Amino acid sequence: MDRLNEVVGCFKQDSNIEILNPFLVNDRNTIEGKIRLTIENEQLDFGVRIPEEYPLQNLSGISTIFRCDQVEGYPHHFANDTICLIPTKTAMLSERVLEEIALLKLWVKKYYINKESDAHYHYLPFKYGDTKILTTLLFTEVDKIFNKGDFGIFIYSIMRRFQTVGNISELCAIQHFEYLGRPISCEWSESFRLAFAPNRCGGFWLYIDQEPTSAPYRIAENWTELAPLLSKEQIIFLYHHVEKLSQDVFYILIGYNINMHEGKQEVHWQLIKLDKNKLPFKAIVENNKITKFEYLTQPIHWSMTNNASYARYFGRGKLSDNITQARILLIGIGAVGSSLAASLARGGARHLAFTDFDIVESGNICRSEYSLLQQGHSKCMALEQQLLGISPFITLENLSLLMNGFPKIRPELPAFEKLKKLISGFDLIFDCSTDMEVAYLLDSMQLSVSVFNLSMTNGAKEFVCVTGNNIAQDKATIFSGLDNKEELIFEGHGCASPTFRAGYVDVNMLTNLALKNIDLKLKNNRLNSFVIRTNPNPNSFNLIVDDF
Amino acid sequence: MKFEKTNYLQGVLDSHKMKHVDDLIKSYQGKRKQIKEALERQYGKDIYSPINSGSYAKHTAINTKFDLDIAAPFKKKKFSTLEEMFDDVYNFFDRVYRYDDPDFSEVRKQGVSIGLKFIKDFKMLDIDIVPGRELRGDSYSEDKYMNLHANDNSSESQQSIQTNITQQIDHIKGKNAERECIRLMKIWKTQNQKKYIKSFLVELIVVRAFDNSNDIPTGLWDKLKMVLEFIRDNIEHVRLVDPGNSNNVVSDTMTKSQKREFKDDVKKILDKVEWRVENLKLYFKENPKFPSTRNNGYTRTGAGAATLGTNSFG
Repeated sequence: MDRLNEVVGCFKQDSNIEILNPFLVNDRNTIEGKIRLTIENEQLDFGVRIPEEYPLQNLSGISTIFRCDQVEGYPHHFANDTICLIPTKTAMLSERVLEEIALLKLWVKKYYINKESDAHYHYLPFKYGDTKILTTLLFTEVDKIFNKGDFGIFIYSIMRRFQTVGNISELCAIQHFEYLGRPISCEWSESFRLAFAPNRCGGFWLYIDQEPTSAPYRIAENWTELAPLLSKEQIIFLYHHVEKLSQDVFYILIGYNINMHEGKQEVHWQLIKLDKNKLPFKAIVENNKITKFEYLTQPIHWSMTNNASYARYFGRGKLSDNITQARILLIGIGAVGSSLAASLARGGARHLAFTDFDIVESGNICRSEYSLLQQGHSKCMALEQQLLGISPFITLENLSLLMNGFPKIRPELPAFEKLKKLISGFDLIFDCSTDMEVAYLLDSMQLSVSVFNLSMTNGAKEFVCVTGNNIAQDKATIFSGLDNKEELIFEGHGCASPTFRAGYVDVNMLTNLALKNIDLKLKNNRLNSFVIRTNPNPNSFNLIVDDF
Repeated sequence: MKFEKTNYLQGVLDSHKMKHVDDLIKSYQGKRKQIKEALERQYGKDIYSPINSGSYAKHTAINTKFDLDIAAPFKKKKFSTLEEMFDDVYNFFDRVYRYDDPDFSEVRKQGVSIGLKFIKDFKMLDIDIVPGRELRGDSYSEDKYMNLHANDNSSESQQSIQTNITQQIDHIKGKNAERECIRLMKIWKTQNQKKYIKSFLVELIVVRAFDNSNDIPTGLWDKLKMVLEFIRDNIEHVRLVDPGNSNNVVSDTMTKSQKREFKDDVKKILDKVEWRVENLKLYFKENPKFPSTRNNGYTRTGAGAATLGTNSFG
């Protein structure tokens, strides 16, 4: 049976379906036709279009396209009249057609006839108004409850602009809002805000409370549709401030409340791009006074926003609060230290201080978090850049100038107490320096905070985490029982600084397993040293965590 | 030098001996005498001679953690309730004694005791007073039993706890080998911050381990190993009662998960030492302030003299 007959057969066998326009194969091998679906005496007509690749599906597209222009304002019914159905993937043509027919009937019954809505929220779909510069604006939570009719300016930073095929992509983040002349900070970390502070621009925000729609599930596409949702005060504010703008193109943020899962509400912001020379409204002036505004029939140029609140950013998985809420000090940011730092940042850590004396060299790249272009940078500066590229919520404290690696001060000297005071200010300390003198000095401080000393044997056969208040000695005891005889690598820097064998996968895998264990141990308040042993089986690779 | 477990542990015990803190103990003893006399002056015929209790009295103290407590046995007729007794003793220290002793620093109500803090010769001294009342009129002279008042914030659920401190002390009197193991267990508990384990329970389970064995080994490590194995195999089910009150089931004061944790912890010691004897140093360390000459041949365990040459990488 050919494709056309198989498709037609599927539609014909359904008693709820009448074929209005016969199915035909057009010149692009697409099958098209029109059907009438009757359910509970309700009739709807759908254009049907089955693409060439069907029953396979392009990643960007919908499978069969059902288009209905008789109604609007229902869930999963887009502005271009198409219905969004999510069928199971299958390579069997008729199986897929039958499932899509079943899903279409379900859509009609659930949403059109029963007027049901989904428990989960759907962002309003829109098309980029400006297709030359595709802007995405990140926003996060702020310490303010917005009320209908509120307005003000907002400051944002352009974080990155890059050329893509046929257009430019631009990533921006809101720095802060201003309301009644007072700044309202976004809950990003200070480090993040400062890093992108130089590229700052201004825009306007208007809080309208309800979704900017022309009909249910349809975003307003024209200013005349949005106008009824804006207050006169908001428009007067815009009108007066736009004149003062130095740039022609500017942004307006439209804020509104959305209902998320389980009754949770959040503020969403949708971005509009405007040209001050083509304003969509004009003031009607009588006797030198603005009496009213008239809106022009002008399309709204929507742009993308992204809710990057902490809860969203780390909502899919994070480390426990014992780590994320702790003030963490990381001593030594070589292979293990930088890998740990990246995992801490990705795990939602809020505060990370770090110190190292070293610079990035080409040999570091294969097993650390540093990049090719960072060679010659101090590791601390390089890590700062890397971590700011991961989390906007992490406050970074580069202690390299203050500590220059780790100052070697004998415990009997007065300066040792100062160093101890500085170190005592942290809640968690990770010593990845592999310097036993550092371990000895930390032991000598008899700190009340948790210290974890992380290192490995040459060849990454074992990874050792030592904790407690006698780390130097315990580490010596544990290491004296490990196989650590692998030959060192000499790279021409003399006898003083040979290096060890281990690649990125070794370092990353072992460091992350150690971090996972530490997170668990902190959660259960059962801290102990442990060794991760690799199993040298030639056919497979296994890991064993051995608690001490 | 070959690592020898018993010799090493003996060095650990030596470094934790109370004799190293002789001056401090003398200060404690002086203060304790002063408090006893003050109690006898205050309560006259209503109090029997206060007695020494706590780990120092039981010879199970270590110099990094020890208690010199005083049990104050009152006559039945003196107080109508245990709470009245407890509050009266507390008030005596709070309202009277504090003005007579220039070293006095702080008084606070604890579980079954009243905690006193003193500052003498730039040292902090902690002494707990445990007030108790005889069970019946004049019964204390014969049986030494007392009822203690338990505060609500105490882990005990009862309001009143019967005990017999003399019997508790007698329970380990003369048991030198047991006391060595108790002290080692306390060293491990203190150094590894095993706060969930009660010292009283450690005493009882060590004595039970010895009682349970028909053939006590000779070396200190072998004795400790026997104790650790007994704990590993029995802690989850063994019933341990206060020698001074068979109704006080001390083993019930640990939760099921705490017992499981105790079992896991001692199993780790046994496994790791079995695997490599030097690992004993991870669990039992000398007090670095008073290093023992016995362990000079091994790597010193205190932070003060660490060997700093491990080839670790990262």
